[in-house]
Amino acid sequence: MVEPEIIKNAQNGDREALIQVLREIETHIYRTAFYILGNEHDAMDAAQESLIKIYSKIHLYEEKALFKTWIQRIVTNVCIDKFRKKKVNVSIDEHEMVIKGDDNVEKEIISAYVAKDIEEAIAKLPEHHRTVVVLRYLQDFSYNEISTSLDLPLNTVKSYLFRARQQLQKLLHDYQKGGVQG
Amino acid sequence: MKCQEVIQLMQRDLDGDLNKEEQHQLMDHINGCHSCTEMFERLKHISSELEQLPKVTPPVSLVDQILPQLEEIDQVNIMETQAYDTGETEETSTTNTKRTSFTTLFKKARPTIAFLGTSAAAVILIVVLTLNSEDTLFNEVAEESASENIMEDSVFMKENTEEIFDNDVEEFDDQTALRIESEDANQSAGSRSGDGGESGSEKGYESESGEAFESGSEESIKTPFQEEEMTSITFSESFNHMEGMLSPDGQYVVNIRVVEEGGNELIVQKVNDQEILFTLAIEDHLTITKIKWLEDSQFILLQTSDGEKQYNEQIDIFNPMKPSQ
Repeated sequence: MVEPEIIKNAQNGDREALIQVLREIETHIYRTAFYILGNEHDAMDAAQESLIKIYSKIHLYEEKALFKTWIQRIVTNVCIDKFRKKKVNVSIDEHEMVIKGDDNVEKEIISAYVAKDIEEAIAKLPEHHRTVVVLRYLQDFSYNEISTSLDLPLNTVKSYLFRARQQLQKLLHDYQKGGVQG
Repeated sequence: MKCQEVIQLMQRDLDGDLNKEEQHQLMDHINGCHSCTEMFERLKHISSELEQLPKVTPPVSLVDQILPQLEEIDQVNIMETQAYDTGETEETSTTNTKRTSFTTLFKKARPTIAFLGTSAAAVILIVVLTLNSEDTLFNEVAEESASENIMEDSVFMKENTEEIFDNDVEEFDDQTALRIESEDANQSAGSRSGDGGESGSEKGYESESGEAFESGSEESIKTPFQEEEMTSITFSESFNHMEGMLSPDGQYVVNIRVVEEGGNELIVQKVNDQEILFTLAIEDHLTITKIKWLEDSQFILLQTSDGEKQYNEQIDIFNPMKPSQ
Protein backbone atom coordinates (compact mmCIF):
# COMPACT_ATOMS: atom_id res chain seq x y z
CA MET A 1 0.00 0.00 0.00
CA VAL A 2 2.51 2.68 1.02
CA GLU A 3 6.04 2.48 -0.34
CA PRO A 4 8.54 1.57 2.39
CA GLU A 5 10.86 4.21 0.98
CA ILE A 6 8.36 6.99 1.68
CA ILE A 7 7.75 5.72 5.17
CA LYS A 8 11.45 5.75 5.84
CA ASN A 9 11.78 9.30 4.59
CA ALA A 10 8.83 10.28 6.73
CA GLN A 11 10.48 8.74 9.76
CA ASN A 12 13.66 10.62 9.01
CA GLY A 13 11.86 13.92 9.32
CA ASP A 14 10.77 14.54 5.72
CA ARG A 15 7.52 16.35 6.37
CA GLU A 16 6.34 16.16 2.77
CA ALA A 17 6.79 12.42 2.76
CA LEU A 18 4.87 12.13 6.01
CA ILE A 19 1.96 14.12 4.62
CA GLN A 20 2.00 11.92 1.54
CA VAL A 21 1.85 8.83 3.74
CA LEU A 22 -1.16 10.25 5.53
CA ARG A 23 -2.90 11.01 2.25
CA GLU A 24 -2.36 7.48 1.06
CA ILE A 25 -3.77 5.88 4.19
CA GLU A 26 -6.62 8.23 5.02
CA THR A 27 -9.24 6.24 3.15
CA HIS A 28 -8.24 2.99 4.80
CA ILE A 29 -8.32 4.63 8.18
CA TYR A 30 -11.68 6.23 7.52
CA ARG A 31 -13.22 3.00 6.27
CA THR A 32 -12.32 1.13 9.42
CA ALA A 33 -13.61 3.93 11.60
CA PHE A 34 -16.81 4.16 9.60
CA TYR A 35 -17.73 0.53 10.06
CA ILE A 36 -16.70 0.34 13.69
CA LEU A 37 -18.47 3.53 14.71
CA GLY A 38 -21.34 3.26 12.26
CA ASN A 39 -21.66 6.84 11.07
CA GLU A 40 -19.84 9.43 9.04
CA HIS A 41 -19.50 12.05 11.73
CA ASP A 42 -17.81 9.88 14.33
CA ALA A 43 -15.75 8.19 11.63
CA MET A 44 -14.37 11.57 10.48
CA ASP A 45 -13.46 12.46 14.04
CA ALA A 46 -11.79 9.17 14.76
CA ALA A 47 -9.96 9.08 11.45
CA GLN A 48 -8.57 12.57 11.96
CA GLU A 49 -7.50 11.78 15.48
CA SER A 50 -5.77 8.65 14.20
CA LEU A 51 -3.97 10.53 11.46
CA ILE A 52 -2.72 13.08 13.96
CA LYS A 53 -1.47 10.27 16.15
CA ILE A 54 0.30 8.66 13.26
CA TYR A 55 1.84 12.00 12.37
CA SER A 56 3.31 12.50 15.80
CA LYS A 57 4.25 8.86 16.43
CA ILE A 58 5.67 7.91 13.07
CA HIS A 59 9.14 7.55 14.57
CA LEU A 60 7.83 4.76 16.76
CA TYR A 61 6.87 2.55 13.85
CA GLU A 62 9.28 -0.34 13.49
CA GLU A 63 9.85 -1.93 10.16
CA LYS A 64 9.48 -5.46 11.43
CA ALA A 65 5.73 -4.91 11.65
CA LEU A 66 3.60 -4.29 8.60
CA PHE A 67 2.76 -0.64 8.24
CA LYS A 68 -0.87 -1.46 7.49
CA THR A 69 -1.28 -3.45 10.70
CA TRP A 70 0.40 -0.68 12.67
CA ILE A 71 -1.96 2.01 11.41
CA GLN A 72 -5.01 -0.19 11.83
CA ARG A 73 -4.00 -0.81 15.39
CA ILE A 74 -3.97 2.92 15.99
CA VAL A 75 -7.34 3.56 14.39
CA THR A 76 -9.05 0.62 16.10
CA ASN A 77 -7.75 1.85 19.45
CA VAL A 78 -9.06 5.33 18.81
CA CYS A 79 -12.43 3.91 17.73
CA ILE A 80 -12.81 1.61 20.66
CA ASP A 81 -11.99 4.45 22.98
CA LYS A 82 -14.62 6.65 21.35
CA PHE A 83 -17.07 3.83 21.30
CA ARG A 84 -16.67 3.28 25.03
CA LYS A 85 -17.11 6.92 25.88
CA LYS A 86 -20.29 6.92 23.90
CA LYS A 87 -21.52 3.67 25.26
CA VAL A 88 -21.90 5.09 28.73
CA ASN A 89 -25.14 6.66 27.55
CA VAL A 90 -26.22 3.77 25.45
CA SER A 91 -27.23 1.31 28.16
CA ILE A 92 -26.06 -2.20 28.72
CA ASP A 93 -27.16 -3.74 25.45
CA GLU A 94 -23.60 -4.76 24.77
CA HIS A 95 -23.37 -7.24 27.55
CA GLU A 96 -26.61 -8.88 26.63
CA MET A 97 -25.24 -9.47 23.20
CA VAL A 98 -22.14 -11.17 24.47
CA ILE A 99 -22.14 -14.80 23.60
CA LYS A 100 -20.80 -17.27 26.09
CA GLY A 101 -20.04 -20.24 23.91
CA ASP A 102 -20.60 -21.53 20.45
CA ASP A 103 -23.26 -23.93 21.59
CA ASN A 104 -25.41 -21.16 22.91
CA VAL A 105 -25.28 -18.87 19.96
CA GLU A 106 -28.85 -19.55 18.96
CA LYS A 107 -30.26 -19.13 22.42
CA GLU A 108 -28.26 -16.10 23.41
CA ILE A 109 -29.49 -13.72 20.84
CA ILE A 110 -32.74 -12.26 21.84
CA SER A 111 -35.34 -12.04 19.16
CA ALA A 112 -35.54 -8.28 19.50
CA TYR A 113 -32.13 -8.07 17.90
CA VAL A 114 -33.09 -8.48 14.31
CA ALA A 115 -31.64 -6.42 11.56
CA LYS A 116 -32.90 -5.67 8.12
CA ASP A 117 -29.56 -5.35 6.45
CA ILE A 118 -25.98 -6.28 6.96
CA GLU A 119 -24.81 -2.82 8.05
CA GLU A 120 -27.47 -2.64 10.68
CA ALA A 121 -26.53 -6.11 11.81
CA ILE A 122 -22.86 -5.18 12.11
CA ALA A 123 -23.82 -2.27 14.33
CA LYS A 124 -25.38 -4.77 16.72
CA LEU A 125 -22.22 -6.80 17.18
CA PRO A 126 -20.11 -6.38 20.31
CA GLU A 127 -17.26 -4.00 19.61
CA HIS A 128 -14.42 -6.49 19.43
CA HIS A 129 -16.36 -8.84 17.18
CA ARG A 130 -17.18 -5.94 14.92
CA THR A 131 -13.58 -4.80 14.83
CA VAL A 132 -12.41 -8.23 13.73
CA VAL A 133 -15.07 -8.35 11.01
CA VAL A 134 -14.05 -4.91 9.75
CA LEU A 135 -10.39 -5.85 9.50
CA ARG A 136 -11.21 -9.13 7.80
CA TYR A 137 -13.65 -7.78 5.23
CA LEU A 138 -12.89 -4.11 4.77
CA GLN A 139 -9.11 -4.32 5.06
CA ASP A 140 -8.76 -7.87 3.68
CA PHE A 141 -6.59 -8.84 6.63
CA SER A 142 -5.57 -12.42 7.32
CA TYR A 143 -6.08 -14.01 10.73
CA ASN A 144 -2.46 -13.22 11.46
CA GLU A 145 -2.67 -9.61 10.46
CA ILE A 146 -5.77 -9.13 12.58
CA SER A 147 -4.02 -10.78 15.46
CA THR A 148 -1.09 -8.39 15.14
CA SER A 149 -3.25 -5.31 14.77
CA LEU A 150 -5.40 -6.05 17.76
CA ASP A 151 -2.80 -7.83 19.86
CA LEU A 152 -5.10 -10.74 20.26
CA PRO A 153 -4.14 -14.42 20.18
CA LEU A 154 -4.87 -16.09 16.86
CA ASN A 155 -7.48 -18.36 18.39
CA THR A 156 -9.32 -15.42 19.86
CA VAL A 157 -9.36 -13.73 16.47
CA LYS A 158 -10.90 -16.82 14.91
CA SER A 159 -13.42 -17.26 17.63
CA TYR A 160 -14.52 -13.62 17.42
CA LEU A 161 -14.80 -13.80 13.66
CA PHE A 162 -16.72 -17.07 13.69
CA ARG A 163 -19.07 -15.89 16.39
CA ALA A 164 -19.60 -12.63 14.58
CA ARG A 165 -20.64 -14.40 11.39
CA GLN A 166 -22.89 -16.70 13.36
CA GLN A 167 -24.53 -13.73 15.00
CA LEU A 168 -24.90 -11.91 11.73
CA GLN A 169 -26.55 -14.85 10.01
CA LYS A 170 -28.85 -15.22 12.99
CA LEU A 171 -29.76 -11.54 13.04
CA LEU A 172 -30.57 -11.49 9.35
CA HIS A 173 -32.26 -14.87 9.34
CA ASP A 174 -34.63 -13.78 12.09
CA TYR A 175 -35.55 -10.73 10.12
CA GLN A 176 -36.28 -12.75 7.02
CA LYS A 177 -38.43 -15.07 9.07
CA GLY A 178 -40.51 -12.11 10.16
CA GLY A 179 -38.59 -10.90 13.14
CA VAL A 180 -39.97 -12.30 16.34
CA GLN A 181 -39.23 -15.82 17.21
CA GLY A 182 -40.41 -18.01 20.09
CA MET B 1 -18.25 -35.73 12.63
CA LYS B 2 -20.58 -33.59 14.69
CA CYS B 3 -22.46 -30.70 13.14
CA GLN B 4 -20.79 -28.29 15.54
CA GLU B 5 -17.36 -29.33 14.28
CA VAL B 6 -18.57 -29.04 10.73
CA ILE B 7 -19.67 -25.47 11.35
CA GLN B 8 -16.13 -24.73 12.43
CA LEU B 9 -14.94 -26.12 9.10
CA MET B 10 -17.49 -24.02 7.24
CA GLN B 11 -16.24 -20.93 9.01
CA ARG B 12 -12.63 -21.65 8.14
CA ASP B 13 -13.62 -22.47 4.58
CA LEU B 14 -15.04 -18.97 4.24
CA ASP B 15 -11.58 -17.64 5.02
CA GLY B 16 -9.85 -20.06 2.66
CA ASP B 17 -8.27 -21.82 5.61
CA LEU B 18 -9.08 -25.46 4.76
CA ASN B 19 -6.77 -27.99 3.19
CA LYS B 20 -8.01 -30.53 0.64
CA GLU B 21 -8.75 -33.21 3.17
CA GLU B 22 -10.74 -30.90 5.39
CA GLN B 23 -12.68 -29.68 2.40
CA HIS B 24 -13.64 -33.25 1.61
CA GLN B 25 -14.75 -33.84 5.18
CA LEU B 26 -16.89 -30.74 5.00
CA MET B 27 -18.50 -31.66 1.70
CA ASP B 28 -19.09 -35.27 2.75
CA HIS B 29 -20.95 -34.15 5.83
CA ILE B 30 -22.94 -31.46 4.10
CA ASN B 31 -24.15 -33.81 1.41
CA GLY B 32 -25.83 -35.94 4.01
CA CYS B 33 -27.01 -33.26 6.42
CA HIS B 34 -29.83 -30.94 5.53
CA SER B 35 -29.45 -28.51 8.40
CA CYS B 36 -25.73 -28.09 7.76
CA THR B 37 -26.39 -27.46 4.08
CA GLU B 38 -28.74 -24.68 5.10
CA MET B 39 -26.33 -23.25 7.63
CA PHE B 40 -23.49 -23.28 5.11
CA GLU B 41 -25.65 -21.41 2.61
CA ARG B 42 -26.49 -18.80 5.20
CA LEU B 43 -22.90 -18.33 6.26
CA LYS B 44 -21.73 -18.06 2.67
CA HIS B 45 -24.44 -15.51 2.09
CA ILE B 46 -23.28 -13.44 5.08
CA SER B 47 -19.69 -13.65 3.98
CA SER B 48 -20.46 -12.49 0.47
CA GLU B 49 -22.58 -9.64 1.82
CA LEU B 50 -19.67 -8.60 3.98
CA GLU B 51 -17.35 -8.73 0.99
CA GLN B 52 -19.70 -6.44 -0.90
CA LEU B 53 -19.96 -3.77 1.77
CA PRO B 54 -19.52 -0.35 0.17
CA LYS B 55 -15.91 0.77 0.18
CA VAL B 56 -16.75 4.09 1.75
CA THR B 57 -14.41 7.05 1.34
CA PRO B 58 -14.22 10.23 3.40
CA PRO B 59 -16.46 13.00 2.05
CA VAL B 60 -13.56 15.46 2.09
CA SER B 61 -9.83 15.07 2.40
CA LEU B 62 -9.07 14.40 6.04
CA VAL B 63 -5.43 15.38 5.73
CA ASP B 64 -6.33 18.81 4.35
CA GLN B 65 -8.56 19.35 7.33
CA ILE B 66 -5.93 18.51 9.90
CA LEU B 67 -3.04 20.39 8.27
CA PRO B 68 -3.33 23.31 10.73
CA GLN B 69 -3.18 20.91 13.68
CA LEU B 70 -0.17 19.17 12.21
CA GLU B 71 1.58 22.51 11.97
CA GLU B 72 0.80 23.19 15.59
CA ILE B 73 2.40 19.90 16.52
CA ASP B 74 5.49 20.90 14.60
CA GLN B 75 5.58 24.23 16.43
CA VAL B 76 5.30 22.57 19.82
CA ASN B 77 8.04 20.14 18.88
CA ILE B 78 10.35 22.94 17.89
CA MET B 79 9.67 24.79 21.12
CA GLU B 80 10.26 21.67 23.13
CA THR B 81 13.55 21.08 21.44
CA GLN B 82 14.69 24.62 22.13
CA ALA B 83 13.54 24.44 25.71
CA TYR B 84 15.32 21.17 26.11
CA ASP B 85 18.53 22.64 24.78
CA THR B 86 18.45 25.35 27.41
CA GLY B 87 17.64 22.82 30.07
CA GLU B 88 14.30 24.33 30.97
CA THR B 89 12.14 21.44 29.98
CA GLU B 90 13.48 19.03 32.47
CA GLU B 91 12.92 21.44 35.28
CA THR B 92 9.38 22.29 34.28
CA SER B 93 8.29 18.81 33.56
CA THR B 94 9.59 17.50 36.85
CA THR B 95 7.61 20.08 38.72
CA ASN B 96 4.48 19.28 36.79
CA THR B 97 4.93 15.63 37.32
CA LYS B 98 5.20 15.99 41.02
CA ARG B 99 2.16 18.12 41.33
CA THR B 100 -0.06 15.91 39.25
CA SER B 101 1.05 12.78 40.87
CA PHE B 102 0.67 13.94 44.39
CA THR B 103 -2.95 14.72 43.78
CA THR B 104 -3.42 11.35 42.23
CA LEU B 105 -1.75 9.53 45.02
CA PHE B 106 -3.66 11.38 47.64
CA LYS B 107 -6.90 10.45 45.99
CA LYS B 108 -5.84 6.86 45.70
CA ALA B 109 -4.66 6.68 49.26
CA ARG B 110 -8.09 7.27 50.68
CA PRO B 111 -9.39 3.73 50.51
CA THR B 112 -6.22 2.61 52.21
CA ILE B 113 -6.76 5.03 55.00
CA ALA B 114 -10.22 3.74 55.53
CA PHE B 115 -8.74 0.30 55.59
CA LEU B 116 -6.38 1.25 58.41
CA GLY B 117 -9.21 2.79 60.29
CA THR B 118 -7.35 5.40 62.32
CA SER B 119 -6.59 8.93 61.38
CA ALA B 120 -3.20 8.81 63.10
CA ALA B 121 -2.15 6.01 60.86
CA ALA B 122 -3.45 7.99 57.97
CA VAL B 123 -1.18 10.89 58.81
CA ILE B 124 1.81 8.59 59.09
CA LEU B 125 0.82 6.98 55.87
CA ILE B 126 0.79 10.26 54.07
CA VAL B 127 4.19 11.09 55.48
CA VAL B 128 5.46 7.76 54.26
CA LEU B 129 3.94 8.46 50.89
CA THR B 130 5.60 11.81 50.72
CA LEU B 131 8.97 10.52 51.80
CA ASN B 132 8.76 7.71 49.38
CA SER B 133 7.55 10.00 46.73
CA GLU B 134 10.33 10.23 44.18
CA ASP B 135 10.13 6.98 42.36
CA THR B 136 6.66 5.84 43.24
CA LEU B 137 5.14 9.07 42.16
CA PHE B 138 6.69 8.75 38.79
CA ASN B 139 5.14 5.36 38.47
CA GLU B 140 1.77 6.80 39.18
CA VAL B 141 2.12 9.31 36.42
CA ALA B 142 3.46 6.78 34.02
CA GLU B 143 0.48 4.68 34.69
CA GLU B 144 -1.90 7.57 34.45
CA SER B 145 -0.80 8.77 31.11
CA ALA B 146 -0.44 5.31 29.77
CA SER B 147 -3.77 4.09 30.87
CA GLU B 148 -5.80 6.98 29.70
CA ASN B 149 -7.63 5.08 27.02
CA ILE B 150 -7.24 1.63 28.10
CA MET B 151 -7.60 1.08 31.77
CA GLU B 152 -11.25 0.30 31.29
CA ASP B 153 -12.22 -3.25 30.56
CA SER B 154 -10.04 -3.61 27.57
CA VAL B 155 -10.16 -6.78 25.67
CA PHE B 156 -6.99 -5.96 23.88
CA MET B 157 -4.92 -7.26 26.62
CA LYS B 158 -1.38 -7.25 25.40
CA GLU B 159 -1.72 -3.63 24.67
CA ASN B 160 -2.55 -3.04 28.29
CA THR B 161 0.45 -4.99 29.24
CA GLU B 162 2.70 -2.94 27.09
CA GLU B 163 1.21 0.23 28.32
CA ILE B 164 1.77 -0.53 31.91
CA PHE B 165 4.95 -2.50 31.87
CA ASP B 166 7.04 -1.24 29.03
CA ASN B 167 8.89 1.94 28.50
CA ASP B 168 7.32 1.99 25.13
CA VAL B 169 4.15 3.49 26.47
CA GLU B 170 4.52 6.45 24.26
CA GLU B 171 3.26 4.70 21.23
CA PHE B 172 -0.29 4.91 22.42
CA ASP B 173 -0.34 7.75 24.82
CA ASP B 174 -2.54 10.62 24.03
CA GLN B 175 -2.00 14.31 23.88
CA THR B 176 1.17 15.54 22.40
CA ALA B 177 1.13 18.27 24.96
CA LEU B 178 1.73 15.67 27.63
CA ARG B 179 4.58 14.12 25.81
CA ILE B 180 7.56 15.35 27.74
CA GLU B 181 5.91 14.68 30.99
CA SER B 182 5.02 11.14 30.24
CA GLU B 183 8.33 10.36 28.65
CA ASP B 184 10.01 11.54 31.76
CA ALA B 185 7.76 9.49 33.90
CA ASN B 186 8.26 6.48 31.75
CA GLN B 187 11.94 6.67 32.10
CA SER B 188 11.68 6.66 35.82
CA ALA B 189 9.20 3.85 35.77
CA GLY B 190 11.47 1.98 33.47
CA SER B 191 14.60 2.39 35.50
CA ARG B 192 12.71 1.39 38.54
CA SER B 193 11.30 -1.81 37.20
CA GLY B 194 14.82 -2.51 36.03
CA ASP B 195 15.82 -2.93 39.66
CA GLY B 196 15.23 -6.62 39.31
CA GLY B 197 13.93 -8.49 42.31
CA GLU B 198 13.03 -5.37 44.19
CA SER B 199 10.41 -4.14 41.76
CA GLY B 200 7.28 -2.56 43.17
CA SER B 201 4.99 -5.35 42.24
CA GLU B 202 6.99 -8.03 43.95
CA LYS B 203 7.37 -6.13 47.13
CA GLY B 204 3.71 -5.42 47.16
CA TYR B 205 2.85 -8.95 46.52
CA GLU B 206 5.06 -10.38 49.23
CA SER B 207 3.44 -8.09 51.69
CA GLU B 208 0.25 -9.92 51.03
CA SER B 209 1.64 -13.17 52.27
CA GLY B 210 1.43 -11.80 55.77
CA GLU B 211 5.14 -11.57 56.55
CA ALA B 212 5.03 -7.84 56.61
CA PHE B 213 2.06 -7.77 58.91
CA GLU B 214 3.91 -9.68 61.56
CA SER B 215 7.06 -7.65 61.55
CA GLY B 216 6.14 -4.61 63.55
CA SER B 217 4.08 -1.50 63.35
CA GLU B 218 6.25 0.39 60.94
CA GLU B 219 5.90 -2.35 58.43
CA SER B 220 2.19 -2.62 58.88
CA ILE B 221 1.82 1.00 58.07
CA LYS B 222 3.84 0.60 54.97
CA THR B 223 2.13 -2.53 53.91
CA PRO B 224 -1.18 -1.09 52.84
CA PHE B 225 0.72 1.50 50.95
CA GLN B 226 2.68 -1.09 49.09
CA GLU B 227 -0.44 -2.98 48.45
CA GLU B 228 -2.06 0.12 47.17
CA GLU B 229 0.91 0.76 44.98
CA MET B 230 0.75 -2.72 43.61
CA THR B 231 -2.93 -2.48 42.94
CA SER B 232 -2.63 0.70 41.05
CA ILE B 233 0.39 -0.28 39.04
CA THR B 234 -0.02 -3.88 38.34
CA PHE B 235 -3.66 -4.70 38.68
CA SER B 236 -6.57 -3.28 36.90
CA GLU B 237 -8.18 -0.41 38.80
CA SER B 238 -11.18 -2.49 39.54
CA PHE B 239 -9.32 -5.07 41.58
CA ASN B 240 -10.08 -4.95 45.24
CA HIS B 241 -8.22 -7.26 47.54
CA MET B 242 -11.03 -7.47 50.00
CA GLU B 243 -13.82 -8.19 47.57
CA GLY B 244 -12.04 -9.49 44.50
CA MET B 245 -12.87 -8.37 41.03
CA LEU B 246 -16.30 -8.69 39.49
CA SER B 247 -16.81 -9.91 35.97
CA PRO B 248 -18.27 -7.34 33.56
CA ASP B 249 -21.65 -9.06 33.72
CA GLY B 250 -21.52 -9.01 37.50
CA GLN B 251 -22.09 -12.73 37.84
CA TYR B 252 -18.65 -13.95 38.84
CA VAL B 253 -15.89 -12.77 41.06
CA VAL B 254 -12.21 -13.60 40.99
CA ASN B 255 -10.01 -13.47 44.06
CA ILE B 256 -6.50 -14.37 45.15
CA ARG B 257 -5.85 -16.44 48.24
CA VAL B 258 -2.50 -17.08 49.87
CA VAL B 259 -1.82 -20.75 50.36
CA GLU B 260 -0.08 -21.66 53.61
CA GLU B 261 2.36 -24.04 52.00
CA GLY B 262 3.46 -21.24 49.69
CA GLY B 263 2.20 -19.83 46.46
CA ASN B 264 -1.20 -18.46 45.73
CA GLU B 265 -4.53 -19.55 44.45
CA LEU B 266 -6.89 -17.96 42.06
CA ILE B 267 -10.50 -18.52 43.02
CA VAL B 268 -13.47 -17.88 40.82
CA GLN B 269 -16.88 -17.86 42.44
CA LYS B 270 -20.43 -17.15 41.48
CA VAL B 271 -21.63 -13.96 43.03
CA ASN B 272 -25.15 -15.06 43.86
CA ASP B 273 -24.51 -18.26 45.81
CA GLN B 274 -20.73 -18.13 46.33
CA GLU B 275 -20.36 -21.44 44.57
CA ILE B 276 -16.73 -21.95 43.65
CA LEU B 277 -16.26 -22.57 39.95
CA PHE B 278 -12.64 -23.50 40.38
CA THR B 279 -9.43 -22.70 42.16
CA LEU B 280 -6.18 -22.53 40.33
CA ALA B 281 -2.84 -22.88 42.08
CA ILE B 282 -0.21 -20.38 41.06
CA GLU B 283 3.26 -21.79 41.42
CA ASP B 284 5.42 -20.52 44.20
CA HIS B 285 8.01 -18.75 42.10
CA LEU B 286 5.45 -16.79 40.10
CA THR B 287 4.18 -13.40 41.06
CA ILE B 288 0.80 -12.37 39.82
CA THR B 289 1.26 -9.06 38.10
CA LYS B 290 -2.13 -8.60 36.60
CA ILE B 291 -5.62 -9.98 36.59
CA LYS B 292 -8.29 -8.82 34.25
CA TRP B 293 -11.69 -9.92 33.07
CA LEU B 294 -12.24 -9.96 29.37
CA GLU B 295 -15.41 -8.34 28.31
CA ASP B 296 -17.35 -11.50 27.66
CA SER B 297 -17.12 -12.46 31.35
CA GLN B 298 -15.88 -15.84 30.28
CA PHE B 299 -12.15 -15.32 30.20
CA ILE B 300 -9.74 -14.03 32.77
CA LEU B 301 -6.43 -12.68 31.71
CA LEU B 302 -3.78 -13.74 34.14
CA GLN B 303 -0.36 -12.26 33.93
CA THR B 304 2.43 -13.68 36.02
CA SER B 305 6.11 -13.07 36.28
CA ASP B 306 9.03 -15.08 37.56
CA GLY B 307 11.12 -11.96 37.91
CA GLU B 308 12.60 -12.31 34.47
CA LYS B 309 9.85 -13.19 32.10
CA GLN B 310 6.21 -12.37 31.94
CA TYR B 311 3.59 -14.95 31.16
CA ASN B 312 0.13 -14.25 29.86
CA GLU B 313 -2.58 -16.76 30.14
CA GLN B 314 -6.19 -16.55 29.21
CA ILE B 315 -8.31 -18.71 31.43
CA ASP B 316 -11.71 -19.90 30.38
CA ILE B 317 -13.66 -19.90 33.63
CA PHE B 318 -15.89 -22.68 32.38
CA ASN B 319 -12.94 -24.74 31.31
CA PRO B 320 -10.04 -23.52 33.41
CA MET B 321 -7.73 -26.48 32.84
CA LYS B 322 -7.37 -25.68 29.19
CA PRO B 323 -5.90 -22.24 28.78
CA SER B 324 -6.88 -20.94 25.40
CA GLN B 325 -3.38 -19.89 24.62
